[in-house]
Amino acid sequence: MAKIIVVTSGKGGVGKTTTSASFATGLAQEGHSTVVIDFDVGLRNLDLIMGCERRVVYDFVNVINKEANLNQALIRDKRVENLSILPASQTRDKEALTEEGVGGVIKDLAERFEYVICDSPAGIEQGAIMAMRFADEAIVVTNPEVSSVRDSDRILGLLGSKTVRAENGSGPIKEHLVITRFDPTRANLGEMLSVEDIQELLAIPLLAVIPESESVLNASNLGAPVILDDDSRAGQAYSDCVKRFLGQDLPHRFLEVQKKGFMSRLLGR
Amino acid sequence: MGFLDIFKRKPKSAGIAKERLQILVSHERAERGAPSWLPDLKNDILEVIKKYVEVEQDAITVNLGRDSHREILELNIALPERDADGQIVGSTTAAAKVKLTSNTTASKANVATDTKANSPAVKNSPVSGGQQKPASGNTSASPNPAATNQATTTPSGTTQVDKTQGTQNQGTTTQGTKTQGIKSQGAKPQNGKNQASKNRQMRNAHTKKPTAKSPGAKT
Repeated sequence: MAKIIVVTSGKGGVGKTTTSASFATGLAQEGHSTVVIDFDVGLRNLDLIMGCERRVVYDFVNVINKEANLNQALIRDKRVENLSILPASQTRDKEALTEEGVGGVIKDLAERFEYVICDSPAGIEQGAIMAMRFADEAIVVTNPEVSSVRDSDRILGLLGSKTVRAENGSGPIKEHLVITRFDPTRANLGEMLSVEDIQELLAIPLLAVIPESESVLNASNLGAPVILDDDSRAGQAYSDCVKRFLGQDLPHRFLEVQKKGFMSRLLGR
Repeated sequence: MGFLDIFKRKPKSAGIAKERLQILVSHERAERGAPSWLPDLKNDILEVIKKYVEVEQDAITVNLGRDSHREILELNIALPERDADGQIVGSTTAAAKVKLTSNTTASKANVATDTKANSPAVKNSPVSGGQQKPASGNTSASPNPAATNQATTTPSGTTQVDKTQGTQNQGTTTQGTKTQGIKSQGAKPQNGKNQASKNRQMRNAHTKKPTAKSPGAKT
């Protein structure tokens, strides 16, 4: 049976879509058939980050409304095998995501794929609730910043109350913390919440720390998930993240202040 | 900016951020999952108190918590302390904890009324301690009709009262409930090292805790 994983955060702009794209790509790279769904109806962006924006014909809402079938709406990734994208609708509103509709589509996807990644919109409204509704596991994306940590805590509360698993008592959702945009230099100076601070506040197991990296913007400019950039620290951190998720015991990298050499400065890594 | 300012160290902002978040997050967890009648209960209690004492709108906090086998209804009321001229010089906090045990064989309600003085004038206050106890006794019965007040405090109830923290111990028995003195308001929030696991438990159990908004912290 497929695993349904929601990537969520509450706050916007912390890296949900970046994480969803890289995490799904990483799972597919590891040989697992994976689909990533954009739940941000009206403000879809996963297609842009995945670089398939011009291949969108039908979307999630079309499938829910039975205006198209899954085969028509799913976009197969051209770089990585076993990876598909289900884009959000750009023209509807979040009310289009009904519980029956979303549940039905996820059920169908769960029969075809090993992992179903749900890229949640920001906020705590219909779209975000539907993205987490059927999840077995949750990746909570948090920046080392007060508003993000607060919103993540709020989201953790909702994961514990508004999900099918919470309601029918079929075991709690497994929660993972992914800290993004982490800057070890500033954390060392006491200018940024440390990894330990955030872990203590949110009290969920740490899956990965993604360092602040210029390569993330480069990747989104190109429409290629940053995990495909093997040379970048963020890409490597996401790669570790996926492997750790799949059970490998890897130490957390990029937590120490990195001494920048002349060449790495020049190359912007 | 003077020359010497260069050598002054700014306070670490991350530490402040963490402190602020700890307070905020625990407060918000407390509000999460609260029953819909809690704000109404709070307003009603406030109206009753206002009949007798002049109190601020935010002088009362009502929290509903839960541990493994019972619900805890916690009331904190900040009563203003005035000097001879009627000037407010401080406040006295009257706190009541009502534990509602939901059990099929026997229902119990343990009431522990605590008073905590933030001002040395507490003994002269006409509204501290004793007068609050009957009110808390009544509160105990209302959310759980099956609850019966017990004359003795059960061992589990006793553990809630921290005798070491206070200076007074009031052993008055009111309305068939044994009341015990003094529990520091700060006793419950997390100070320990196992905070991570505590945080988690708190979130999952929607436990209510006294926080920055509790009257004790206001004075």
